[in-house]
Amino acid sequence: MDQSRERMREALEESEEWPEPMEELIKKKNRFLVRITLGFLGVYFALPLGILFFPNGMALEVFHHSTVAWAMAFFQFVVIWGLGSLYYFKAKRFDQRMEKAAPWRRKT
Amino acid sequence: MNLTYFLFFLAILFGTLIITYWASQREKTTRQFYVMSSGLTGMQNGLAIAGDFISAASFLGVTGSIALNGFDGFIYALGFLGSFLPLFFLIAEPVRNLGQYTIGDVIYFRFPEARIRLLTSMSTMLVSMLYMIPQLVAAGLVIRFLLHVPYHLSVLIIGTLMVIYVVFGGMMATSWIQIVKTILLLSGAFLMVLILLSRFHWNVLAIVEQIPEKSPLSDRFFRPGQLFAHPVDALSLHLSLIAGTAALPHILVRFYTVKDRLAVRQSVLASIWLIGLFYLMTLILGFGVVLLVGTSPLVAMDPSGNLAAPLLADALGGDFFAAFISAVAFATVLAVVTGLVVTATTSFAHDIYNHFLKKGKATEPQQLKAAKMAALIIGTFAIGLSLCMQNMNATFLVSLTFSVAAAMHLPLLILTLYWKRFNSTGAVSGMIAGFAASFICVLLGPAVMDPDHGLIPHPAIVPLEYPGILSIPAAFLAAAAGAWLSKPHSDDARFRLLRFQSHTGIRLEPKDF
Repeated sequence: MDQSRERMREALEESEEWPEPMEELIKKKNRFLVRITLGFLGVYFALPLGILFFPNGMALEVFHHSTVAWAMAFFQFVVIWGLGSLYYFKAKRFDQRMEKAAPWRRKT
Repeated sequence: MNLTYFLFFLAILFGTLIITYWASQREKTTRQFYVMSSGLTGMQNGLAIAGDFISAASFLGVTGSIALNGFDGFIYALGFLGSFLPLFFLIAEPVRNLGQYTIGDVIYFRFPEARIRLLTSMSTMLVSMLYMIPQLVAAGLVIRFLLHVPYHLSVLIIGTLMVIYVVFGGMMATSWIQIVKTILLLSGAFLMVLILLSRFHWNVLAIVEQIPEKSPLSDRFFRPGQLFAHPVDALSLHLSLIAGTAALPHILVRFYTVKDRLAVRQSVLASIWLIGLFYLMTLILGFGVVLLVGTSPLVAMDPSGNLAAPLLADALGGDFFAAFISAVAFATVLAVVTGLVVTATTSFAHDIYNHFLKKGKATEPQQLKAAKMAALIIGTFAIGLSLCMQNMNATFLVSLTFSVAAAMHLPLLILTLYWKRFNSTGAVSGMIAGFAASFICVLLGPAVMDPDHGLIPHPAIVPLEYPGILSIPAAFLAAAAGAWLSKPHSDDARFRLLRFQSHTGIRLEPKDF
């Protein structure tokens, strides 16, 4: 294992893009991370920004004292749990694809 | 002193000391002391992380804040929960894959320079200390009320206990105390919710209907605008919470206590669900406080509403139940400050003592000795400061903690992990600017400057309680400017190595790991 790690290290340090399918996958994964993070931040900050810029709209009553603001707050729980679970499964898929794409066998 | 309360506190004391004794029998190496040899499962670590998050501030503070401020108190809690996702997506796994014991390891992986490790370690210790003191102060005040022990004595008891746990039990005692406490806390809160709902014949709408009659806020209870003078302040608070909580070192080091990145993901996912459910429960509990305790008795006991949970327990289940919930609150404070001590200790012993002073050549016994000495000194220092602060308002330390964590650690971690052009000059300038911006903003802000009861009796110059909206962009800008203006000695090969290791979890470095 030590020898193969050493070889991997050298290969990584010498070449610009190594190994090709790996590089593609990492880029893909990073794009996914950026999208999911920005998406979440958008949903998250919609609440304080909504309160800041549209106080009247946020105070519209939907149901029994619950305003739009409350609905959005509860929606955030759903989004947080949902995106968290989505990432968990997506990350697993990325792991599998990386293992297939790269010339090594994990031993640890 | 009430005997029921006393017995419950003794139970917590004995329980935690038994855990510590059991841990001390097993901790022989530094790896065991710092990260318990990565021996936790994902679920166990999830419980521990949830425990770190549900600190006294959330359990005692959020329940009280919802009772007093309604909607604003509730969305405050959302900030803590929301910060988990950026942490989960961008930071948790790379931290686990690149480091051994500390955040210093992660940054050092990219920039192998002694000064970087030193600075990162100092900021870790600073943030942990800053966070420890308000927890100790709040704990002292709560214990004084519950057990009728003088403030000084209660701070001394908690401080001594946290040092004992760390010195003898290290990370193993810390983790297990945290896990047991989370289970106690969640079940206690769940029980309270059940009793409360049964009182109202399981009709949540009936509870909601009665609130405007009982709360002095009346209909405004359900509307935003109670807690914050200005909505920009609310926005800045959310930014500070979401960026700061994700960068608290005592949360990040928890990722070293599991064996691989899959377990890291399991632990974060478990904690997101647990914390979310917990905050939904605090919402109902906050409503219950309004109806069954009333806001004026609550404020009469403690103006910030910190005693809401024990008071509600008393109203729901009498003295016995109140004693149980108070003991759980005590355990909560204890577990969180212990986690902070162990984080600061590890950072000192590993980063500063072993790597900076001894150039990585300290032996195992030497490192363990340094760690235990450090725990003793850090603990004593925190106790001393907390004793001095009894009559001071410690809230500025909380806002300083989150601002410093958000502005010093978050830009540093994000840019180090993802920006190819970043270099060590940028890292240093970002950290220094982040610290300076947070410090100045808090110093000129309403937490310190206040005409009536501030440390400086003058209207605040920066009218933001949490200055994240200023300090975080300032730190990012300074870090980017530092990297652009200095010579481009960012090492491409190192960055490739970092990317590979952080995405695959295959350790190419450090070699002796």
